[in-house]
Amino acid sequence: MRVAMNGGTQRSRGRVLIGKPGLDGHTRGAKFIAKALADHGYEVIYTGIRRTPAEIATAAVQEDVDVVGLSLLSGAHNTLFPQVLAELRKLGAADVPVIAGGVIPQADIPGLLTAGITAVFTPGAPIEQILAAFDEACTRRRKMS
Amino acid sequence: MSDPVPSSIEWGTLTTRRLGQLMTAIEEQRPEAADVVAALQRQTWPGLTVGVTGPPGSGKSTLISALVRELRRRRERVGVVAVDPSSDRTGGAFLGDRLRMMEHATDADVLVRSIATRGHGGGVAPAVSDLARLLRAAGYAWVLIETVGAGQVETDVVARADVTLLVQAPGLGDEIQALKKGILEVADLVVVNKSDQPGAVELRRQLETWAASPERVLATCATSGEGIAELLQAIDARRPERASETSRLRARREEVRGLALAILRDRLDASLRDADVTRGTTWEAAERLVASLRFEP
Ligand SMILES: Nc1nc2c(ncn2[C@@H]2O[C@H](COP(=O)(O)OP(=O)(O)OP(=O)(O)O)[C@@H](O)[C@H]2O)c(=O)[nH]1
Ligand SMILES: [Mg+2]
Repeated sequence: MRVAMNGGTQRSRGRVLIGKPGLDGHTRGAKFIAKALADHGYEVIYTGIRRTPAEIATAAVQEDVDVVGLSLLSGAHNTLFPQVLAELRKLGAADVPVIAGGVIPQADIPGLLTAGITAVFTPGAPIEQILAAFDEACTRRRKMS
Repeated sequence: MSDPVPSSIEWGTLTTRRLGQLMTAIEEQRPEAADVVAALQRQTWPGLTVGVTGPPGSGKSTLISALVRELRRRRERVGVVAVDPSSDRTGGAFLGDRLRMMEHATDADVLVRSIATRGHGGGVAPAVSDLARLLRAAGYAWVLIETVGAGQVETDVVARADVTLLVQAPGLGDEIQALKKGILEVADLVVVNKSDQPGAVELRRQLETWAASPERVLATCATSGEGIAELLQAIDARRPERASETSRLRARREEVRGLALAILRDRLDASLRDADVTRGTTWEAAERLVASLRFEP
């Protein structure tokens, strides 16, 4: 039998960061998504609750993630999500797609998408759909680089 | 990666963005990283790489965060590489160490990178060493590496550090099994963390008898910061440039041994998957497999 030289290295689907900006302490949604993404084959970096947009963007850049996922239930999405995008831009990471979830009124979604959020999910969205959005964003970004 | 790697790299001027991307390229052994790695390996970069290992939940990440705090007080720039296992089944990983280090999240002089083992076995060790080199080249003079001390992988990673800490804590149940030989030998310092918890004194006493010299054992409380300054001092005292010729040689031998084992393990792992396991007892099948191994360059 031959012992191959470049043995079994295994690949992940990609790297994602899950962050919770804002003041609410509801971690269930974020943790559930983080776990589902890890089970789906992603390397998931979880930053915990009550993070500032700058903290999330800095972590995303240091970790060089393919996608950032944000979860927010406090209602400050219209300011905090665009702030994360702005912080990413500041760090030269405008190309990193951001997927957002939380209690977000339908009426706010078009504005967030225009601001540059890649996809928005509200409670009750099927997990398969969310995973598919991460897959698509990740694949698109990896192709670009 | 969009822009090509410059031929002569101004390490000190790399942005965090660029560093993050370079780390990915190194980790994935992308062709464009080969020049960078070669350049990084050509010289020894100023600074110190500290390996931190120990059983799950012993407080490694919290301890690292406390060490970073102390180092920042001394105005040192710090890089952290935190290694967690990938799931064999899904290839995914939950990288949770950063969560404990978020107090440094926006400190421009602290860079934290989480790494998954990606089924490399011990083979992740060379990449981690290169990441540490990159961080030191970029001016993060202190690099702290965290691995969960469960097996050979971790030993390989931390054995390549300049100074190695083995973290233990009371109340983890069977934590002592992580002490199975090897790692105690590899560790320069043994840290009894959670010194505020019951059982810490006994654990310390026990470790002092096991570790060849009691002064290698230190107690810390990572959550309060107690003992951290002393630990840092002890680490500083063990800088390789302060070590004797024999201990330097021992460290080098250990590094080479670890490397060789890591390479072997990766290759074996790949071949074992296709082995014929159907004939005879499992023992016979294993013997047959070993007898049939042949190495090619
Ligand atoms: N009482 C007490 N708790 C501590 C101390 N250090 C860490 N902890 C707690 O121990 C738990 C585990 O700490 P971590 O730093 O995540 O431990 P770890 O070794 O990095 O864990 P893994 O990365 O999962 O292997 C956390 O709840 C910490 O707050 C300490 O000195 N005293
Ligand atoms: Mg940890």
